[in-house]
Amino acid sequence: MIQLPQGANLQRIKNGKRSYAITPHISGGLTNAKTLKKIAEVAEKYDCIVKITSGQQIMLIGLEAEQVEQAWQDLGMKSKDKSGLRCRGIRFCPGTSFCKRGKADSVRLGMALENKYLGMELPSRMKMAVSGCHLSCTAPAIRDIGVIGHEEGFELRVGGAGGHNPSLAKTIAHHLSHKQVLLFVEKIIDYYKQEGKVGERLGEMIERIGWNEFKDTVIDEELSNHIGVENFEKIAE
Amino acid sequence: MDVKSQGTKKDLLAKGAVLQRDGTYAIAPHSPGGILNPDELIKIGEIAKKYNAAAVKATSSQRLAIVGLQEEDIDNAWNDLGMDPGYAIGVCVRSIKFCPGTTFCKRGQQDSVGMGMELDKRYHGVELPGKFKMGVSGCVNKCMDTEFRDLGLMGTAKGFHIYAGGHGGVRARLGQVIAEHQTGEDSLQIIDNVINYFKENGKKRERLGEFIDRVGMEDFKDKVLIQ
Repeated sequence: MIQLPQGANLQRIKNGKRSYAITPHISGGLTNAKTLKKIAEVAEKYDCIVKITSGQQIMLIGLEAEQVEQAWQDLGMKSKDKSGLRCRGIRFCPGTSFCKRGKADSVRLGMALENKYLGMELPSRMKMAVSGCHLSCTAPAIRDIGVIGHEEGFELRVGGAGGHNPSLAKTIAHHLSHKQVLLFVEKIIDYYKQEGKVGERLGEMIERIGWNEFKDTVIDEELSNHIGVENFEKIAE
Repeated sequence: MDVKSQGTKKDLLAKGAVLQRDGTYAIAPHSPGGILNPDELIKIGEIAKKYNAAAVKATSSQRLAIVGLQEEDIDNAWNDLGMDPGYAIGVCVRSIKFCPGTTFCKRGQQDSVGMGMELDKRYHGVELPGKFKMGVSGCVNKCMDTEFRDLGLMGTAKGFHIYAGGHGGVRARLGQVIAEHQTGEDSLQIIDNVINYFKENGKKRERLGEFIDRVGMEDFKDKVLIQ
């Protein structure tokens, strides 16, 4: 009995043959020439197909089970468990670090969210995105948690999803600072962990509980003290 | 970074170079569906190093952007790469995103790679009234966010569902299904009808969804579906 390889995704079984894909994590898709070359060398060594994914990752397809562990060692990178009912990934745009249109530091905020939440076990899968301007290149309106940078500060949206059961996220607050976004997201995640049913996406939970109830619970005393009341979006049910 | 160092510089559409905040440029070689071979990946890494790029970014459009090139290095970088610049910017058919489908994915029900490659060959870079994004997903999980593409395909056991009129960025909106369980051939015919109808009748900078709002969904379907 062959042990299932760790940190790899089973691909389509063809002629009874199993093969796997691995995805070395690169935050926001940002990497440098050295790491890219390393990934490429591993791809060459194991004769992989390379796929740049919509999740801003580089996936190496076509490894055999017994090659997976060695491939991770060759990469010198650790596999991160982002599968199943977890925070899957935080996409972010180049923001003020690189982009001429950036209005806010999406890279810094994206990294902060990633450090805190990537791989965290949650009631269902969760996707986040940060965009550095209203053009919304990382599509924050269709993520469970989406942040949009404006001149006046960050706008926070919740409850969106692409994929199987798509929905648009709603704005819960605007004019937020980097720190305020992090505090706000913490409150949302805490509540979701507590109230979300297994397999229920954040937007589905909000729909079940009701927008007003969700907002009133998440925006507790601590949050109100940190964030001015004028920053909360007034949206009727 | 200092925006002032951009001076009067602009995106260089003909060179596929996107102006960055500090006055340098980014290039993003065309990689349909994000699929590359190891040699291409090595090449991109080497070029990034050779021209001292600030970063390489895997983008949501399934491309690798080499960020932070000097203007005078752009031509040489493309020559060294020997890859197609594609159309990452401009008012045209942008990326056609597709999932691994039956080629690689255990869940795939349709050949999204074959369909995506065909759409890329036919339409990538074609000028249209507004920018235009497509996505092909091989199953109901719709990894390519089917409802949020101007045209989105979803594979079923019997064929493809076709969605039209969505987008994911500014003023995000959901597309609607206009046809179900179409064969590959019929899907291509319907897509061709949509693109031609939009090309001839769309207003400047109008996205497909806004166009459908203006002409009405029923009329739109009359024009593009196979009767």
